[in-house]
Amino acid sequence: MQKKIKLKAMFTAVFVVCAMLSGCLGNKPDTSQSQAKETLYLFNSKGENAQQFKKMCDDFTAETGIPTSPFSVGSGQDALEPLRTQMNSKNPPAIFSMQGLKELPEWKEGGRVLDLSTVQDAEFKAIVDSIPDSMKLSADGKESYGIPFNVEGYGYMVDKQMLNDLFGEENGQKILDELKTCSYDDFTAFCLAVTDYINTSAAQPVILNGNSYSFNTQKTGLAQKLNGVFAFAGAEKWTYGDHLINVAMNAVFPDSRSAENTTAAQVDELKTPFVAYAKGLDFVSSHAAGLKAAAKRGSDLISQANFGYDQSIQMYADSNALFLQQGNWAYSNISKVNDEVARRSVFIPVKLPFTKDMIKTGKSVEDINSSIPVYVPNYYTINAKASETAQKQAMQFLVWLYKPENVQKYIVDSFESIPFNADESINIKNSLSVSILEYMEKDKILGAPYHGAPNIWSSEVVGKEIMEKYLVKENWSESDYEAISSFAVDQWKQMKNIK
Amino acid sequence: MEKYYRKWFWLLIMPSMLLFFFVIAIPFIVGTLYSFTSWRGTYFAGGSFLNSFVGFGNYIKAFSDERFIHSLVYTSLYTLAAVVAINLVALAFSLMLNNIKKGVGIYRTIFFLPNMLGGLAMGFVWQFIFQVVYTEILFSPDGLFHAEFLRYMTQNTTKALFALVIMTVWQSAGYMMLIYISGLNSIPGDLYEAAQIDGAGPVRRFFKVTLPLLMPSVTIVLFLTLANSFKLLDQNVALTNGNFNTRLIALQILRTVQDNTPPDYGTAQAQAVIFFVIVAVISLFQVSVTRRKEVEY
Repeated sequence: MQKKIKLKAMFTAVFVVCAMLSGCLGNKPDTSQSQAKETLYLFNSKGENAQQFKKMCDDFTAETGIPTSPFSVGSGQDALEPLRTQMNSKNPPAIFSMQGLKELPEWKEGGRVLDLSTVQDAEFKAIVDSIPDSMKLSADGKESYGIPFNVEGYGYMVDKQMLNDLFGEENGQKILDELKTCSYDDFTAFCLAVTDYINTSAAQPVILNGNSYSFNTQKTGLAQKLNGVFAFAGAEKWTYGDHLINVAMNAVFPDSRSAENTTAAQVDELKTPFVAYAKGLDFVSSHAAGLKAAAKRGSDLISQANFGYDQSIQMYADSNALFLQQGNWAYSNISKVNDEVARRSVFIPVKLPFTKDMIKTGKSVEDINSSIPVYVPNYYTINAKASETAQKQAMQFLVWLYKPENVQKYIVDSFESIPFNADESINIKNSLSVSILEYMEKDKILGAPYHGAPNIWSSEVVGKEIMEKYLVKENWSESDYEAISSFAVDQWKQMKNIK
Repeated sequence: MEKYYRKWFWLLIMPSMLLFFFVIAIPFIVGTLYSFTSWRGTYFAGGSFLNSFVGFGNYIKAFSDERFIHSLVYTSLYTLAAVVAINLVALAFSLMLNNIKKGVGIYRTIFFLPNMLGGLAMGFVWQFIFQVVYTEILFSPDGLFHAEFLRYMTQNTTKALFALVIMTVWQSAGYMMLIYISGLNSIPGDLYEAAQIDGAGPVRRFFKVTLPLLMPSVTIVLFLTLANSFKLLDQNVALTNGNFNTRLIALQILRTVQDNTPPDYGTAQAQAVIFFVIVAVISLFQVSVTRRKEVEY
């Protein structure tokens, strides 16, 4: 009897532990198709808008009766690991997000991503067909694996009021317009004059596009707070590793697809644009502002405590710096520090000392130096291994989201993003987004070929090399420019295994 | 009581055994098997487990990766420095506290407190300390006293190693101190008296009485510090994130996944198995050596 009780107790213990662990072990996808309406699982990689994303899903459920279960990663958290975990779970997402060509091979090879160009549903097909070729998530241009979540852009942000305070109310807007189109030489001369003005309260007039403008005779308003030209985040490799180098890459590759399918000869063509990149970076990093006083290039400039992302935002929002190289995603961060500055900010293009012979895309030097990169940072993709019902519901969700009224309500108003198909019917208030739309309307936009470069090449390889070896050096020489350029080109070829 | 334990022995250890089996043993076996395949995190590269079998390919890849070898060497150096430093500081704390009469509880609490902080939080706190307090306030030319080698500690491979050691000593010494204190408390006072009567001074008493009888605690503390140092991750991520060639082996394994597209979990898994073997061999060797030094009285 005693033995029986003992055995029963043991089996109960085994059962309890197994039951506890069963949740961890089940990893087969739910392929049940018996229900007419399955729960639609969605993976959202933008933790910053988790609440708004959930609200959108709830609204969809209320309207269609399809139950939804969104999963958002933590704010600022890397999305790939949680996504892989979700994919291995009992309920893998039917809709997930992908950051572009760099992430496509993994999901394509694993058979997880649906080629949307094969879908027959008329309403959904219309959305897929409306994606401009340059925005397609496709390595060959024929397939199409995602619906753009939004578009983003970046450049040098500038506060219009700061220009008014430097050059007078009557000249502020004119200067801004000139800065959008001026040459690299005009731009650097302008920056040097601003540096003089900061240091001595007096400077020679600046000449932009042949027109001369004088500084205010006395420092007034925000100009009194300036201590440097650029808010430079030396500790953030991605700002010069990804974004600044991307401008140089536009000299050879118009988009990420062409960079992805490159040959060794084309990569070699990047050598001279990368020298221009190094010169441009030299100029920016030696005219950096600081939180208290102008910064000097050296070990301090890569300190996370003084020259990280947050500090660069602070410098710009506090008017310590005239320009900040960032994108429209930084709007809310700037707004938290100084909403007035955020609302007055617009973009001018990031300029580099290109010459005509460097550019292989058919554009002119003037074109590139008066355009800003605008690209799709994230795509909605459909899980090809989800059940047929779940796939159909996923398409139904995307068709619902891309109804014009929902684009305005969710993508623009709720997520504060720019829809890929933005037109005049869209009402955007965010000043930086409006600035991007203006560039888009004038077709003054560049691509994001860095998305097509080998994984981690731009930030973790080139950016890291620059941070560790060059930003800590006070002076750069011609041979440093050459070394940076050769390193970037050689590493690309090595990582891509092309000769 | 002994009868009770004998009777219910299997039932009482069953939950732990099952948890160990499901949470440690199975993942370990599966992980080891995956290290022989092209596992990509959510799928096998060849389509199935068998088709993606690469034999020792991932192990060869791991050993031919310069970054992996560097991180192995760097981790070994860090472990050596950290184990020595933590043990010396913990032992010094425990001897000091063993000899004071007032406020022992407060000191113990203060020394133990840093251990309550999570690794990431600790890393970020010390990043600020090294980048601002050390660099700008204490050791700058205008600071308390100028010591260039203590500035920019996170921007140099060697300095960062010592920065990590300083941080982990601060974190772990209090915890290890408690183990040493319990060891010291178990040494009978009459042995010291006898030694003193025989004419042994404080140093001789320490080496001839305290240390031999403290060996059980030394075995535990050495094992813990050795294992903890080898697998240090969070603090490494937060303090340097591997910049300036400061990847310890755990971070290297983590980054192997991100360094490749599609993610190379197979090779990362092979690195983890190599890592396990190294830590296991060193730890077992250390335990067997220090055990032999333990004495009974």
